[in-house]
Amino acid sequence: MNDNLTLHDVREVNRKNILKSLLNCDRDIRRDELAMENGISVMTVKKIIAEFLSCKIVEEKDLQSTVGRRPKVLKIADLYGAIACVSLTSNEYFSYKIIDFHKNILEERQLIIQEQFSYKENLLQMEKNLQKDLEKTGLICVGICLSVPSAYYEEEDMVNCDLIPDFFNLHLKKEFQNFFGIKNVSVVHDVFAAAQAEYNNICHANESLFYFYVGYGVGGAYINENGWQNGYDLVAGEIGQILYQIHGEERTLESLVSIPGILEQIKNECGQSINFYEAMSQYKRGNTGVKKIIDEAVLKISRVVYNISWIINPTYIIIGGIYSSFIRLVVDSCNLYNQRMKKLPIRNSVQVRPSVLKDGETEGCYNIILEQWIDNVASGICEQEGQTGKKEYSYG
Amino acid sequence: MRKGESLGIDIGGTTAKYAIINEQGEFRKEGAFPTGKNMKREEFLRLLFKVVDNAVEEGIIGIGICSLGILEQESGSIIGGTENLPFLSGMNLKTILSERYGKIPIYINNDVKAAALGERWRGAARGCRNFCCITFGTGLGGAFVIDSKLVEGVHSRAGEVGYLNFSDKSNYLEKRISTSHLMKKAAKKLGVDYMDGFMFFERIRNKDQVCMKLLEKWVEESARFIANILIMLDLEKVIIGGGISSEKEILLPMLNSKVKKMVPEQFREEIQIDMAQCRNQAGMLGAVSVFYHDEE
Repeated sequence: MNDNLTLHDVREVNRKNILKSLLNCDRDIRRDELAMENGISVMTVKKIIAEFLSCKIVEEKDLQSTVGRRPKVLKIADLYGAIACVSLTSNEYFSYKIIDFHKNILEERQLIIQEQFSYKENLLQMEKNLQKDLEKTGLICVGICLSVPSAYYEEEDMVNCDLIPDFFNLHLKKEFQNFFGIKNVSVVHDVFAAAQAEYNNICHANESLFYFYVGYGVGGAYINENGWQNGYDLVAGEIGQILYQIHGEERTLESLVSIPGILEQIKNECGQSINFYEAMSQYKRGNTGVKKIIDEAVLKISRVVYNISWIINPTYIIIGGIYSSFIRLVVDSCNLYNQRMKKLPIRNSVQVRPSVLKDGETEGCYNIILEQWIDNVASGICEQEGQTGKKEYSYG
Repeated sequence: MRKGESLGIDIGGTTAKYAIINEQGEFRKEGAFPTGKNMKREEFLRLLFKVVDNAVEEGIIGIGICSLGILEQESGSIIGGTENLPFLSGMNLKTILSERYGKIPIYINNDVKAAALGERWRGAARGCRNFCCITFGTGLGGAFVIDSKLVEGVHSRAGEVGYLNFSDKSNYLEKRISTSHLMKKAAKKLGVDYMDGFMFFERIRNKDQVCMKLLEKWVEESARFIANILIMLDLEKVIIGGGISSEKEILLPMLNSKVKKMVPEQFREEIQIDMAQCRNQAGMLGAVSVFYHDEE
C-alpha cells in the first residue's frame, strides 16, 4: 500500500473496496467474507458496514439456515440504485436508458427533437420524461451521465458546439444537477465513454488502448493507465478530420470512410441511392462498383490504424461502429495490411480487434457514474447528508 | 530536484558524444569517440568503459545513454534500427553497465525520445505537458510526450513516424520527407553528384526555383503529417529537430501557414510549431534528465 496514505485515505479506500465487493457479489455476503476478500480485519468491515447501514445504502438480514446460529448477511439496499445514461449525440433525437445496479435496463426511450420548439425546450421535455421514468423505477437515482458528440470543457461546463450548435451557452451539467437535485452528473464525450468501456473490458495494468469508431462519423480516443488522453485543448482523437491525399486532392478521412461518405461515393460513382445495409448486401453479392468503393474505404482505415500503431503503439486498437459486418471487414483488412508491411525493417504487432460490446457508449457512461457514486459514498457523502437523502434523488 | 553530476552519452552513427552534466543542465568534460558500421562490439565497449570509468571516479549519480535504434524499455535491449551500427543489435547496454558499475542508476533510450526529454528540460518544450519532437535527418523519427509522460508504446515502437503513410502512395513517410530524401531528390533534379542541407538552403536563399519547388512540396507533405498528428493527439507544441532546425527563418513561417490551413478551425489558434533548441546536446540532456526529475 502507498506509504503516503493517511488514515482518512485508508478508510476511504476500504469503503470503496467493500462497496465494490457488495456491488459485484451476486449473492448476500457475510462480514467475514468481505474482510477476507479485501484483506482487511473484520473489525474494520464492521465499522464501515455500520456507516453504510446507518445511511441505508446496505441492508442486513439473517441467512436462511436450518441449524445453529443464523449469521447476518449483507447486500446493497433494494432501493439502490438507478443510473440514467442520456445520449445527446444526435441533433434529431435524444435517447436514454435507465439501468439498475444489476445492469438491467429498466427503461429505454428515444425522443424526437421537435422542430417547433427550441433545443432547450426539447431538452426540458426530455428531462421531464426522464424524471417520470425514474419515478416509475422506485429506485434511488445515484447519477446521470450525459454523452455528447464533442469535447466537454469541465471548468466552463460547456460542450464544443461545432457539431450541435444548440449546445452554445448551454451548461448541461448545471442544468441536470438543478433539475434533478442531484450532484452526480457527468458530461462525457461519447467516444471517450465507449473507449472507457472497451478499456475496462480488455486492458490490464500498464496496457493502453486506442478506440477507433467508424459509423456515421469517425472518431477516436486514446486511453492508458493514466486515463483518457484528450489533449491540450481536449480535442484529441478527432481522427475523422485526418487529412488524406488521394489523387493529389486533400480529403478528410470522414468524407471517405464514414457511412455517409461511402454512400455518397456509391451515389456518385454507381448512380445508386441506397442505405448502408443494402450496400453491404451488394458488397457480399460481389457488385463490382460497390465492392471497389467499400474496399478502398476499408484500406484507408487500415492505413490510419497502422499509422496509429506507430505513433502511440498502444496494446490494442479496437474498432467500433454500427455495422458489425463492416467492422469485421475493417479488422480483417487492418490485420492483412499489417502482414503486408512485414517487409519493413521493424515489425509492428499491435492487436487490432473488433469491439465486442453491444453498446459501449452506455456501458462507459454507466461505469463512470457508478465509479463516481462509489467515490462520493467513500469520501463521506453518506456521513454528511446521505441519511436525509438530500444529495441523492429518491423516488422510493 | 536531486543534485549532482551525471554522465550523458549519445551513441550516433559515426561518433559517440559524451559529457558530464549537472542538475542545471550545464556541460563539462565534453568528448567523443568514433563509432561506425565496421566497429566490433568489443572495441566499442572498451572505449565506452574508459569514458564511464573516468566519470565514475568523479562521483556521478547516474549514467544516461541515448542511442540510435529501437530500445525495448522492459529488457533494455536494442531490438532494431541498427543498420548503421550492427554491433549494437541485440546488445543490452543496461545489463552490461549494471554488471560493471553496480548501483549507479542507468537510463537508456532511443535518441529521439531522449531528445524530447532534453527539449522539455532545457529547450523548446519547457513547461509542456503534451508535445512531440519530430527529427528530420537520414530517417524520420518522433517522440511523443502525453500528459507529461514519454509514450514508449507496448512494443517500444511509439514514435516510429517514419513508417506512417497518409496518402494513396506506396512509399512510407520516411521515403518521402526525410532530409536525406529531399537532398537526393534535389541532387537528381539539379544534375549534381552531391547535395547537403547547407548547399540546399543556400540555393533557397538565392531563390533557386528548382529547390524552391522541392521545398514547397516537402513543406506540404510535412505539414499534412504535422496536421494529422495534431488532429489525432491535440498537442500543445510540435518541435522540429535534426539538421534543418537551424533553418528556422525559412521553414517555420512556411510550415506554420500550411499547417494552419490544413487543420480544422478548433485547432488553429493553439498551433505552436517550433525548432529544437538543444541541438546536439538534446539527447544527452534528456538521458540524464530522468535523474533530476520525477516524470520519467
